[in-house]
Amino acid sequence: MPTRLGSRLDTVWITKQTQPATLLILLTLLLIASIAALLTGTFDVDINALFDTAEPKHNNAWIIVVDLRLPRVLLAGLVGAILAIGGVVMQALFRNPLADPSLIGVTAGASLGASLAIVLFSATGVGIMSLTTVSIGAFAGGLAATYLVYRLAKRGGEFSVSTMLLAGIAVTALAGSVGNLMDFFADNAALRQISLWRMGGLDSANFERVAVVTGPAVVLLAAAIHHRKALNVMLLGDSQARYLGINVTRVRTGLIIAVAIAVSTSVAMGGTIAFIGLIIPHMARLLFGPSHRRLIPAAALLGACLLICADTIARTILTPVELPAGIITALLGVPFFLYLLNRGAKYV
Amino acid sequence: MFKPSVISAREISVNIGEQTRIQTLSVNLYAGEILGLMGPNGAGKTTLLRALTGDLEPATGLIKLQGKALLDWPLEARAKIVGVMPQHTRLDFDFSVRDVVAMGRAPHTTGRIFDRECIKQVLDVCGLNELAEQPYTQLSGGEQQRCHLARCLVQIEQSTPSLDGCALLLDEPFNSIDIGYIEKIKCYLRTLAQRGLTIVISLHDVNLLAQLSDQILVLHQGHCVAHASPAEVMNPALFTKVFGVSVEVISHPTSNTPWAIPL
Repeated sequence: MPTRLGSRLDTVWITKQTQPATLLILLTLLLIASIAALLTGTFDVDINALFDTAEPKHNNAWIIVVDLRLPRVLLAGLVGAILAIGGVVMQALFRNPLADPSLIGVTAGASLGASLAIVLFSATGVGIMSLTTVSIGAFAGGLAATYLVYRLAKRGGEFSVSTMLLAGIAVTALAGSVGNLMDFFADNAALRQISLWRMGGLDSANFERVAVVTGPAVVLLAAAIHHRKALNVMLLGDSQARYLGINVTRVRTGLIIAVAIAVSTSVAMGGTIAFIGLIIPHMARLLFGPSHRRLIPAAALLGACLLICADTIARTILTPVELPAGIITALLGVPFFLYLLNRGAKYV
Repeated sequence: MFKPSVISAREISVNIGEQTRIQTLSVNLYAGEILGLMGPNGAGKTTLLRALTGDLEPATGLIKLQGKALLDWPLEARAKIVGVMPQHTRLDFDFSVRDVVAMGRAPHTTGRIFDRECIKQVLDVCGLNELAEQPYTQLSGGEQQRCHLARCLVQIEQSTPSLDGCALLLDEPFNSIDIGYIEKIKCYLRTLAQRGLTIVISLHDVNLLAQLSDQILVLHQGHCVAHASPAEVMNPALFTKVFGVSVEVISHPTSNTPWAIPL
């Protein structure tokens, strides 16, 4: 059957034996992208200046790279990884390759939380550990929306994935329209701040923010890797997974909580960054096939890499003006997504 | 000699929504027994199977697995000894056939080498050797069905030769599988039963069911109307009553099992 074999080669580009090596290549790419991102910007840093203490520009270079760009690169990497893993997990839980983290209402809820914070508190107040009221509002909004969606899907004791999908759409729409209402009443300054925030940007990065995101990112990665086998089996459906010994309710609840916390945190720190949660799992699946054993680390690396690159492009392409990174990810993401749609019925 | 039952259902009634689909039914299944479920569409075959798998909780009565209430079993321990094949399985992700079959070993911790041997054997039984590296989503309906059947067959494989106490519940496993493969799989099911496996199988093909089963349980509108050997169950009167057709029952030329021919 030559046609079938052909399409198989088309689907997975690398064999199982070379997967660990490919993961290492991805890791190397991530490191290269990070170093490149540290050295480029409005002010290109010469790597020699960085380590040569005798160089007159040494101190400046050090401040720019370590104090300004390093937290930003770390934050971009963490947020990218969270969104990508969140996408992988959501696609498995919904058994739908077109799912992404925003389906459980977390992004819309966080958006609304941020808008509320901007309009009500003018976003000038500084909260705990340099987290602005906007971040706190976004975090709370994301969690609240997810909780609401989950409660709606669990009505009557029976959890239903399709109800959850519909509840997610409803809550997203509701949060969207309340958000529009906020826009309507907001003054011009607040309006600009809201819309910039929605486009997503990492310009407020600092080490405290990196520290805040690291915890949820590590927990999400660990939870997803821990449940990798269960995620595979759950693609067969809830009852089949139960026949194969998986406590579906426990796994699903745990993972939804992990995704909700991590994505809320990442949206709070980086605004809504489009398309990473959708396209990175697809890219990873194209390279590694659908098994979560390799898919999860691959998606984490690719997500981190893409957002670091997108953010670097965003802050350098129109220097000295910085574009929000969310614009770049969408610009990169949409053509790729259309290409996937065009590839045929396999994914849809 | 007293023989403990592997699965026992005592006077169970099962409701779906408001409707009672199984009414006060009792059945005991022993090691090495193949029980066939017969009955017209909607008679309650699938409902009974889903109750035996723990999917549906009986409104009254109790189901026990190895003497312990079915719903008290931890899922993982149960998955090691009970394999279930539902009528339909949807999978939209591009796993290879071998990966899908390997999911059947998910509950086990028997080691990679043993698992690989088991997988090789069921791939052979289900005629999937050539398709093993193909993506699942590109298989035909019958090939996909064979793939899931192989997954269930590999699930109940144990590291011991004896399968006493293990059970396989199959709901229309041969849908869209052609006759050549069915013969081979049927033989394999028989060898599994000889090793002590309890099998419950529902089939719409009554003649195939009569060939495969040791006992047949006939369901009609949620009631058990007969539970006996194929030779006793397969009679024209029962077919008229349950299916509303007249049949003549003849004997299969080689196996001597009863064979119903609609008149």
